[in-house]
Amino acid sequence: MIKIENIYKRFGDHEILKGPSLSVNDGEVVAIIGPSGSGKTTLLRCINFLERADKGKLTIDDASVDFEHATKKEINQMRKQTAMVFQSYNLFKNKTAIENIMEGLIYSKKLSRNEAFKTGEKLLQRVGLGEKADAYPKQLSGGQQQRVGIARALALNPSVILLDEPTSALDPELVGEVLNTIKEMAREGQTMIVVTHEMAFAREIASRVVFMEGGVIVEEGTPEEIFENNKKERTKEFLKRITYRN
Amino acid sequence: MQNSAFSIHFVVNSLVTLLHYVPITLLITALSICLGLVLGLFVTIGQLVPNRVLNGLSIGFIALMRGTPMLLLLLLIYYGLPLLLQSFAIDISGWNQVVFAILALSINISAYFSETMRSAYSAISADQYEAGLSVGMSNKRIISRIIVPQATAIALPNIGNSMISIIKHSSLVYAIGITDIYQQAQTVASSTFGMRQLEVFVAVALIYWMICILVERIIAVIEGRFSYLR
Ligand SMILES: Nc1ncnc2c1ncn2[C@@H]1O[C@H](COP(=O)(O)OP(=O)(O)OP(=O)(O)O)[C@@H](O)[C@H]1O
Ligand SMILES: [Mg+2]
Repeated sequence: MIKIENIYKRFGDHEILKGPSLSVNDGEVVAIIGPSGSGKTTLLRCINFLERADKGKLTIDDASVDFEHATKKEINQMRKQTAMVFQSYNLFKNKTAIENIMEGLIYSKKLSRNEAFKTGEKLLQRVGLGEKADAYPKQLSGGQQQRVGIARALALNPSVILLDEPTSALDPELVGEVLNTIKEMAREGQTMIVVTHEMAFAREIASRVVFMEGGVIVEEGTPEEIFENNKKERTKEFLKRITYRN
Repeated sequence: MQNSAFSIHFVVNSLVTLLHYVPITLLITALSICLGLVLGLFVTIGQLVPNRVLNGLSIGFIALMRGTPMLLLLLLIYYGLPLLLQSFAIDISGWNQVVFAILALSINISAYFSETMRSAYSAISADQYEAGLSVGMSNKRIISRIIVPQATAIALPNIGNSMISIIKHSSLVYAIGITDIYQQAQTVASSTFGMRQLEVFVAVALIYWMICILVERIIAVIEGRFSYLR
C-alpha cells in the first residue's frame, strides 16, 4: 500500500503540487492523466525522491516519512520501496541490458553477481528480451530499451512501480510491445502508478483513473466513472480535447 | 662541396644514434601524463564542487597555465621553484633536471586534461545519475560505475590530443640541460660543423612522427573499445 498525503512542491515562484493526496492499494493500477504541466511527472519524481517535495507525507506499507524532514537514510529506505520507469528509458549507456538490471541488484539489494545475473536473465525472458542480454542500449530499439527499463524496475521487487509516460517517446509501431508488457504486469498484480496519455490503455488496465490539473487532483474514480460518467467540467473538457486529438 | 647532397645514409646513422634517447623522452612524457591526469582530476573536482573558492582557484589555474608558454613554464619551474622553496627552508636545488621537467610538463598538461574532463562530465545528462538513484545506488557507486566510465569515453579523443602535444613539448626539456633526442640531435649536427644539419633533423622528425603515430593508434584502439556508447 502506498499513500501520499497533502504533497506540496514549488520550483521558485511556481507552486507545482498543491497538496494532492493519493492512496494506492496493493495490486492496484492507478493511471494519472491530465494536461501538460499539471505536475504529473513532478508527483512521481517526488515519490521516488528524485525531487524533494516541500511538504507532505509518504507512507509505503508500514513505513512513513514526512517529506520536509526526511533524513538521507529514510530517503534511501523509501526509495528502495519504489522503482521508476522513465519516459526516455534512462538505461545506463555503458552497461548491457542484463548489466542494467544487475547494477541495482548488486549495489542496492546486495545480491551476489551470480544471483543478480540469474534474476537478470529471468526478467529479460519475462519482457521477451532473453536474446538481448548482451546488447548495449544503443543497439536496442526504443521499445526494447523501455522493456529493459521495465525489467530493471521489476527486478528490484518494489512495492510500487512508477511509470512516467512509458510509451510517449516511442515510434507508434513500438508502443504496442511496451503496453503489452505493462498489461502483463498488471495482470500479475504488480502495484503501479502510470502517468499516460494513452486513454484506451488507461481504461483497459487501470483500476482507478486520476485526473490531475494545476497541481491538484480534480477527479478520480474507476475508468467508467472518469471516462463515461465524470462529474467535473474540467475533466469533460480535457477528455474532449484528448479524444479529438487522437 | 661534395658533401652538400642530401645523404639518406646519414639520416639512418643519426636515427640509430638518436634512438638511444627515445627512452628518456618516453619516460618524461609518460610520467608527465600520469601526474598530469592526477593533477587534472583534482583541478576538475575543484571546478565541480559547490565551493566558490575552489572553483575560482581551479579556473584561475587553468587560465594561467593556458596563457603561459611551455618553455617559459619550464624555465620558471627550473629556476624559480628551488628559490621559492628555499625561502621556506626546503632545499630542492640538488634534484635532477628530469624531475623539474616532469613537474613543468605535468602542470601544463593538467590544465588541458581538466578542461577535457570537466566538459566530458557535463556532457553526461542528469538522466544517468537519476537512473542510478532510482535503482538505489549510492552517490559513490553512480559516479564510479556510471558517470566516470561514460565520461572517460567522451574525454578520450581530447586526452589523446593533449598527449600528442605533450610529447612534442617534451622536446623543450633540452633548455634545462637534459640530453633527450632533441638535445642529442643538436650535438650530432654540430659535430658535422653544420654540414649534415638537415639529415639530423629529418631523423628527429621521423622519430617524433613514429612516437606520435604509435600513440594515436593506441588511443584509437582504446576509443574503439568504447564504440558501443556511440
Ligand atoms: N526542475 C524544475 N525546475 C523548474 N520548473 C520545473 C522543474 N520541473 C518541472 N518544472 C515545472 O513544473 C511544471 C509541471 O511539470 P511536470 O513535468 O510535473 O508536468 P507534467 O504534468 O508531467 O507535464 P507533461 O504532461 O508535459 O509531462 C511545469 O510547468 C514545469 O515547467
Ligand atoms: Mg511529464
